Amino acid sequence: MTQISRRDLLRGGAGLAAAGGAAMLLPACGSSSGSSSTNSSGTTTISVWQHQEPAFNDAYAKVAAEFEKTHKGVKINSLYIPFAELATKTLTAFAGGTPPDVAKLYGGDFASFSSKGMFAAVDYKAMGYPSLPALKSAFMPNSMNQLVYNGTQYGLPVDWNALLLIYSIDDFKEVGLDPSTPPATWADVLTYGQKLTKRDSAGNVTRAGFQWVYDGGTTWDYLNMLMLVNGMGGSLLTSSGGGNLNNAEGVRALTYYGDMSTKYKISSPNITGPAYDQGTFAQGKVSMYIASNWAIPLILAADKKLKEGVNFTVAPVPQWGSSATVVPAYTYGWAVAKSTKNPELVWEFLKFMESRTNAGALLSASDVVEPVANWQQLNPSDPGTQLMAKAAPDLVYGQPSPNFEQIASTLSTGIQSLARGQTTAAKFAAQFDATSFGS
Amino acid sequence: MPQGRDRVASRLLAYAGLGAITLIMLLPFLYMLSIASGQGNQTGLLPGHFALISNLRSVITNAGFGRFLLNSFIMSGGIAVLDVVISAAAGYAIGVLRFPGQRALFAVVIAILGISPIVVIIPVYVMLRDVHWLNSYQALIVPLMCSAFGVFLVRQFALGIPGSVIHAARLDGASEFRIVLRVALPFLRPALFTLLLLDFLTQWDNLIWPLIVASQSSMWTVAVGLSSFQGEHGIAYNLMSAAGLVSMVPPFVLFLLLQRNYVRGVTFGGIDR
Amino acid sequence: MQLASAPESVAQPRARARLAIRSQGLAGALLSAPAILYFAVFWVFPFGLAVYYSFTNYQLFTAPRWIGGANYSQLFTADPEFVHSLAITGLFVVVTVVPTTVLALLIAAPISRGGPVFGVYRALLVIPAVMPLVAASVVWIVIYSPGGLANTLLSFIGAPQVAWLTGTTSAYWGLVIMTIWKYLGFYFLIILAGMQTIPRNLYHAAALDGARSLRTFFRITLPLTRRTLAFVIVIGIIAAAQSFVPAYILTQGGPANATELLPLYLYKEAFSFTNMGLASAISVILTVVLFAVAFVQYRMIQGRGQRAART
Repeated sequence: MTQISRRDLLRGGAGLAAAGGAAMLLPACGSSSGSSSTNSSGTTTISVWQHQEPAFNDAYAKVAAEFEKTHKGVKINSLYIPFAELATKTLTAFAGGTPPDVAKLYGGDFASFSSKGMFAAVDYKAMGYPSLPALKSAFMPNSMNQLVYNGTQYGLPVDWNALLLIYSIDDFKEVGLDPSTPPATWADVLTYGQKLTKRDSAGNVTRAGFQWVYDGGTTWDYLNMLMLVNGMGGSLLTSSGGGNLNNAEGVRALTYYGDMSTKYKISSPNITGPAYDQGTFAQGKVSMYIASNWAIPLILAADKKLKEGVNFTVAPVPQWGSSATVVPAYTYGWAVAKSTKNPELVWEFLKFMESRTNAGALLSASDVVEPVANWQQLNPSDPGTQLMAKAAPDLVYGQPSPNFEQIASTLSTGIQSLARGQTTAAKFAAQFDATSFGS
Repeated sequence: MPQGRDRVASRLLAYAGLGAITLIMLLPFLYMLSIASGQGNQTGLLPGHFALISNLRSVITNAGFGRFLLNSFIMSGGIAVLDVVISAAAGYAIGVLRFPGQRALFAVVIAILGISPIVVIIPVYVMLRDVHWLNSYQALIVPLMCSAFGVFLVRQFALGIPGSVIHAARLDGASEFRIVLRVALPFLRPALFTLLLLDFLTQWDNLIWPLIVASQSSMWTVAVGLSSFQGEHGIAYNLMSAAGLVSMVPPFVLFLLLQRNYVRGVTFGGIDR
Repeated sequence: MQLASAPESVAQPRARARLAIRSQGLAGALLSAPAILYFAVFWVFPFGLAVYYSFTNYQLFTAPRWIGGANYSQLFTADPEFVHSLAITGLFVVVTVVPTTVLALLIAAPISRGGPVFGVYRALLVIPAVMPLVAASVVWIVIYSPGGLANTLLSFIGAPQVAWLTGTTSAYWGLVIMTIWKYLGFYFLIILAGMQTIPRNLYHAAALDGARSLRTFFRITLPLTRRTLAFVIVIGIIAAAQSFVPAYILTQGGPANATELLPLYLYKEAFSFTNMGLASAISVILTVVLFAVAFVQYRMIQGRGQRAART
């Protein structure tokens, strides 16, 4: 009964397409919803999207409520999106013409989003500053760099982080290392790592003396390589945005990364757990690793018996020792949609959000950093805070690129293979440089 | 008698084999119970503390889960019912009736099965925006109210309706619609109830669509709510598992209610029960 | 008993039932109209757009730029990641559909014969299918974690521990196992429904004739479930090839793309890289391949059996 022939398929498809086309002649009416609006009763609504992070969301909500109180007739409509879905939802909304007024997005993606015309340039006048440099002076030096594209500032930094080395004082003492002198160079990391690592009878690592973050996704792989390559004075990308690993620095960096698990067996991709490296560190399966200050409360939550400064502490990230100091950093940014209907109000809201008082409130309630000028004085006794602030002159975010996601993804696949011994540094370096990112 | 022994033996074998398979299949569920009873990220076989009730309570009272359950009900229920009706009509037509373009239609239905929803999302989203349906129940339901899966399923089952019975009904002067209601429907019951349940289950799990279509979290469903336990720096295992347990209840209850339709075989004309 | 194939024409129209439709053509058109309209608007039209986009460079925010077949040629000649994804997806389909179908058949057969004990099994076996996919995937992350259930069971039988989700091969097979576990219930329910249509008197007759269980299964149950099997296998292939959430949650396609099934790769191109043109090309290829495979499978399984059953 059903001999499906090619003719049938074409006939059926054409018929349906015609019907579909006719149906699409429905009137495409009016303007899009989703962004801010002023309704007849005079209430202006601003929509703000961010990813779900209970502590920060609660603290933010209090600030937003304050703003509503002092601005009659203004309602802040906040949406908290599951972390993994943030990009999909925001992209669909922007592409579909229904963006929020404000979105808190990852800094590495700002180049891509700005190049697509999604964002409005930061309106320093509406924020009450006479010039852009004046606005920038209200923030920590270099903290706004990642949110710049083609010379224009597109976002205000929030949830800013610089990388730190986290190490176990207990483990150091156990193997006879001095806890007050953490490894300063990558060579030191190898030496310390060898002493700290424990292996079982089969040779598998049971305690990583130094552990790369293998399960942090593409952004952490990117940050790790940034740290190693730029730390040597090199650069992950050429000035035209292509791969730049197939040279002495790149191959050396890749080799160092891969050898940690394959040759020296100091770190292992198989050491993982539900709370990621914060969990494995707290369990004593990792002696040193690189993260940022947000890791501290998570470590303390994973094992309530641990105390910062007693059992573990932070240090600056290691350097190669032969070139300038480099500290990788990343930030999220408050971005404003270009099509927002109430730009003045929105920038006023963001100025309020980034005020020193509110930055302090956010910091103490949720450990999330808005890097306003001298923000570290809001939390003077926290060592991680002071280290991150001290790194201001040495910060690197990586060259902004509209193809950041592709670059990070390619890099990530490569070094994950490298760490498992499935490729070599030279091979991957050549492959990376040969990849053409983006259109 | 040899066949008596054989029947008993084969029955016992079936019980034992099924029992083993069932136990293996249930292990992850039991594990989920254990995780949901734990605190934080404990992953041992047995929980250290028994916090199941408090975890369940915190899931239900916080996080707006009650609202998510309601939305999921409306979305999954609406889609399941609509799909059964529309797919049954089309599946029967393609399987039993003769009309122009029928084979082409079936081919297109199969082809649609292979279309990945990911590339369809944005055009449909724009469509909904244009008719101002965003953030509404109809946006959750209408774009999913029928499925190639359903049409295909019903068609397969409709093929099994003995042609003689339909032919006899026609000779008796019954109209085509009467044949559908009186002759075909009873025969298709198991298929339709299966479709109802499967649609409900599939849409209960639909994450991307409700997420994108709703601009307020008050329109989100259980699937989105579950995804929210996955944070930037880790997953709240115990809460996610507790929420998962809560989310399982409505579909499972629906299954139990529909069980009746699997107990008895199909009666058809003079055929023995 | 059964007549030869039904005549083409319909019965003579009678004057009395004026609203009664006796034309198969009209009834068929009316009954399938809602579905046709729905498919046209929500699937064919958007997919038509996708086909168009597949010949363009489309970054979602700028207008699509026509580039002809460049996306397609790039995928097959300059994109090892695509070829790799295609290969592991093909393998994934085979190693999930075959075991799941066989298992579903084996457990549905005795349960379809009825009985209270089997009723309990039926309810219990559905539980994995009813567990929400997101939550279930997360439970499996824990099962596969270093101290989790999987390794504990391995240690019970003295087998070496496996670094499940962090190893490239083991992550893939872990995903396969999880997928079989999750979808067995779905397959089972459909096959069960199919077996319900087998008239009981056939089983009684077989028993009277002294047929043993295995023989009954192969001579009665299996052939009469042919139509359902054809459906289940076609649907299974398509569903496996479009499997997204488990890989997304368990491994995000890693480590090192070892579990990057085609839908994940598609999703990445569409939403992470906003390469809508390339993503559309991938989806077109996937649709065409799936349609071809479905068609062939369907003919193979249903083909000959059809003539006997449909009389």
